[in-house]
Amino acid sequence: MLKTGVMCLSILVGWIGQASAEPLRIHASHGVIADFARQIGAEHVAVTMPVLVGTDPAQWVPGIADITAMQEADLILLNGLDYETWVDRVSLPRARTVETIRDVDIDLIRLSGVAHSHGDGPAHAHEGVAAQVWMDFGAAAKQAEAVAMAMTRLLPEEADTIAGNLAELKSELEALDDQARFLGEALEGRTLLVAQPGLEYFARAYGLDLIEATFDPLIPPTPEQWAAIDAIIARTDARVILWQSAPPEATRSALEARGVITAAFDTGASPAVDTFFTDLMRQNMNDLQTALSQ
Amino acid sequence: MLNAFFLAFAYLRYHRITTASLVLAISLIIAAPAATRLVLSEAEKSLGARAASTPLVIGARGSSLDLALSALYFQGTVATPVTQAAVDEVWDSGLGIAIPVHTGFAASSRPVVGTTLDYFDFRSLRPVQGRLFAQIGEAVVGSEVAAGLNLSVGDSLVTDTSNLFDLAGAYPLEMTVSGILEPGDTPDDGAIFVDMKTVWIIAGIGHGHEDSGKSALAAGIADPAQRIYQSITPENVDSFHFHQNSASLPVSAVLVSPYDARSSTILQGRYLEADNPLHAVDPATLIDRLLSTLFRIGRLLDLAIIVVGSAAVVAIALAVGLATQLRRQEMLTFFRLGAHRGAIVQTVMAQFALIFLAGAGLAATFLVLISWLLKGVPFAAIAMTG
Repeated sequence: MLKTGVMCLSILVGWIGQASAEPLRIHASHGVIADFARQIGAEHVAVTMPVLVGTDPAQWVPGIADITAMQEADLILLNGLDYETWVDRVSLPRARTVETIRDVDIDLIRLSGVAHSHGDGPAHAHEGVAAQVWMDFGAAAKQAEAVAMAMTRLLPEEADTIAGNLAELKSELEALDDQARFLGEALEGRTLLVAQPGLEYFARAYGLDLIEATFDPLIPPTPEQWAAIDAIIARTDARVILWQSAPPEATRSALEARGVITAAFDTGASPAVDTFFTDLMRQNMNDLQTALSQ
Repeated sequence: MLNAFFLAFAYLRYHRITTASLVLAISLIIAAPAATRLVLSEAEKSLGARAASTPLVIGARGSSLDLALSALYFQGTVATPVTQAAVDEVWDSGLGIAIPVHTGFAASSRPVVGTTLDYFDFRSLRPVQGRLFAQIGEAVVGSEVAAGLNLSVGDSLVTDTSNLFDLAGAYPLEMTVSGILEPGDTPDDGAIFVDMKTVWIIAGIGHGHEDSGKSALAAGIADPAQRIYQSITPENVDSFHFHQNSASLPVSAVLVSPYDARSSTILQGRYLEADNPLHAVDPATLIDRLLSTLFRIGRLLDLAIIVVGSAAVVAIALAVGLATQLRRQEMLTFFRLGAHRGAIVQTVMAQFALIFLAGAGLAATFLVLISWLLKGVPFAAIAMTG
């Protein structure tokens, strides 16, 4: 099945062939896929990700100019699982589009859909299927394979380079997997809070007990949200809360006053990340271990 | 020699009606068989090239010709549509590119064709103005449509009402022209292309919850004379959705470009079983068969033309012979005036030459005219009604 999603790209081989000296123009819908594409394709690819810095790719909606730019790409790498909520309303060439999740054999996690609001915003719930499968590093390796296969189809003359770069990336992901398992064993029996969804697959793969507190990354929690947090703290031993980005200072101070330490744990989806995915994950886990040792 | 032509021309000018009749008769004898060849050649070019560039068409089991004409030339509608699942099946097989085509709707009497962006790569179509459709509600029009309806990028056009008596049916959809395709002398020039999702909205399968039909309804109470249609705007685009599973959405036909000969054979084999509701058609073979029938008819026509033409030649020869007999006195007068016998023969031959040349010239004019007229002939539509 893995090759299925990629086979469709063969129509482009001739089209691309004439410009093989030019780097392959790749559009990636989030930072992790973009990073995989850059690492695997190296100098043979030019990866773009139109999501603005500081914007959550899962919330991003492309404008006409973004869609047109995507249509002109040689390869469009999507996550899948409705991570790109806009995909049903826009026109993309299927032969040039690859859903990297498509052939990942993994049990999907359905979100609980706890209703909440961000500040004065409307109440809503994160429902449907969790899409951040790359946080299970085994699944991330499969996504990397899908990226590599798509590239190999379009750049057959660079097949060896691509295979070599993929092997290197998978080796790093395996090392991450080992580190995460070690972390999971160290955290056995402990509960962690998580400010935003996105770590479901990480928690399941490595045995972490996570409770979602549904904080807005930018807006201070409401009194109702604090009451909910206090209730969780009271009934669990949760003393660490994971944020995908640094929380507002007031929120961090208020959490510390409750004995809860904040630790950054970025999923790597946002384009603000200016580092390799594997480095970022290593940093995440090191930060968490540091926070736990305090 | 020039004198002979001068005298011959003066004679022919004097006998205008007789000359014109002979010229017309000769031109028809020359033009008729050539015109038959021209029509058949144009039909072959028009139908054959399109079919040859389309490796396979998959559709509901039934008339192969109807399926091919609908999918390739946008003529008519298929009796039984297939579903998007048929498209997905080809993609999942990894044997080729699958491009859905939905026909049956029209805007200003031009066919609205639902497809995906892969169609434009497949047919090497590029917009000469604007861009390809980027989201639902946008349309890319062929060059003939743009010229015929005087459309530019940014203009809008509304789909034709498919059934006036379908009270529960969807409103016509107002579409925005996002691009105009470069002319290619193919059926694409006369089509309006939209995304499959747009065509499903036209079909009433997908809909929005804001602003639907507002464009005209906002004015007040519904007026039967008032045009009512739905529009997709930046404000309501996010509200459009489909209630059906995507795999069950209708598709008229699936154009398939197998990756190689082996994939093509495997794909065709999969649709051979009689109990499979789908079948695969090789358009080139199908159209070749249609054209070979046309050429057989053409050969019969040629035979008829040869017989009729021969009879006409004999009749003309007889008329010329009789005319020469009638002109015996005239020739004698020439001779008595001092004209050499050779000069008299030259003058008569010059008359024949001028008549033949004029006939050939008129035949060439006819053929140029026919050739020009054939450019707009919808051979696929003729094949369908035939």
